[in-house]
Amino acid sequence: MFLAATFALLVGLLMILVRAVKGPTVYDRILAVNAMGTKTVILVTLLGYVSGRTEFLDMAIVYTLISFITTIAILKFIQKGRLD
Amino acid sequence: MSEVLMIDSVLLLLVAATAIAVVEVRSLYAAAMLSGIYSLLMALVWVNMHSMDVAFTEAAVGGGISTILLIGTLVHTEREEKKRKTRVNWGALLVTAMTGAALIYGTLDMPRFGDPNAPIHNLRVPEMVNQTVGMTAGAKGKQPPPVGWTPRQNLELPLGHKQAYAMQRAHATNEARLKEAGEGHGGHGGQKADGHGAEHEAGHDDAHAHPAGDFNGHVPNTVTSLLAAYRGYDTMFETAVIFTAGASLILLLRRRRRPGENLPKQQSANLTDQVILRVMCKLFIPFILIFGLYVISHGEIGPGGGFQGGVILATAFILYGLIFGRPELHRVLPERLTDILAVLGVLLYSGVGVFTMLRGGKFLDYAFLNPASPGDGEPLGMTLVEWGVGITVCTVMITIFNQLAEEESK
Repeated sequence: MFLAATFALLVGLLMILVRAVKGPTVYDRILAVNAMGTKTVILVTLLGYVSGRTEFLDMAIVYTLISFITTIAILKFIQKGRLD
Repeated sequence: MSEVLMIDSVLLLLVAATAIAVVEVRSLYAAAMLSGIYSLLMALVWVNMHSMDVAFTEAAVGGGISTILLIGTLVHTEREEKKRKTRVNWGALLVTAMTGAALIYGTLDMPRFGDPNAPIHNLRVPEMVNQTVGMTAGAKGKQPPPVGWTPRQNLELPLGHKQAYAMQRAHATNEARLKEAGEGHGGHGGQKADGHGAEHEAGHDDAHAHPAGDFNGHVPNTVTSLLAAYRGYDTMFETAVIFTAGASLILLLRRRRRPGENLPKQQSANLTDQVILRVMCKLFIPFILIFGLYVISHGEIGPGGGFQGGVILATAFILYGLIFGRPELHRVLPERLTDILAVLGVLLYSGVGVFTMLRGGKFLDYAFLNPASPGDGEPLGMTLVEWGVGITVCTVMITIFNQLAEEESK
């Protein structure tokens, strides 16, 4: 069952990737990056559960804590044209 | 085909597709974001291979900071790649193809993926994974080797060493299990006491040479043990490389300001009018900082270490700078302070090495940090060294962000 969930997530990754590559506007790509981060967190947790190692959770925490900052940086650059 | 392999092949296909897209896409925005996706996918590949430390680095650097720095470079460049007509350079293509073929040919000699007989699974690593550090049963210092461990001297390495070692190990494990069943746990204590006495009699120098039975010489996280002890010099110079990167960016991009002149307040583009961002940022930063500190100081036990923790710490400061503007970041963390800290981190790393030399050992020979119990030297030395790396990486990343984000005066 966990394998099925993993593959469902992989299909999701593929669809997100298509949107990120095609994505006519920059906002499509931003959403794609964001969704990719979320999917990664879940996939890491799943893989960790399947293999029974708790260290995987550390990685999931890293992603949840810092992956949104990229989105903020991109959006700020689009809105203000600068980062400082 | 196992599940791991199936997941791996799907992930690697996605990675290859993303890499091609990064090269092909015209908009540099899109390229920066696609490279973020690339590193997320690579981190998943590492996770699937159970190489947690690498995955951690990829997560901390790729998920957080590298895309921000790429966007920072866009401040200084155009947003679209210039169109150029290029012809295919057949010579270069041939050389590239041949190099690739040679590399693939080289991998044929490597053990197959997941091969249980690969040297990495049989030589020394199983013991290193099983060992404990510091204290067992409340007693500090040297501990008995794990059950089933054979001293290395008995190995006849040249003659089919993999099989020989595996057989020897299996044999020894069985024997030790029988012995353990007979003696119970009482035998362990006696063994430990004997080990202590022998070491003290053998004298100072022998105790530092990581004797075959010494399992306190190495910390539980084998990766950190390799990075900070086995190839500690390399890691030191890697830190120096990061420091050099920060120093060169300062030389290239930092504007010279007269003493007393500060960044004008109205120039900064802060996001403080966004309530959600402001509140969430204030809520998140403490947790990011604590997690970064945990990753640095926990490096020798779990996944992570100075590089990863330093990047996570830096990300917290960069988030603060993004939301509240760089003048505010400068108020919290002045440029002068980050410059000094970047130097201090490298000095701390090399200082540990010099200290062990002054104690009579070799450069970065952690066993000399505390002659009373050389076995505890490695965890102690590694914690210090990881802090050195962490401080340098964190401050250099903040410096790079500062220099890249600084709008050029036009």
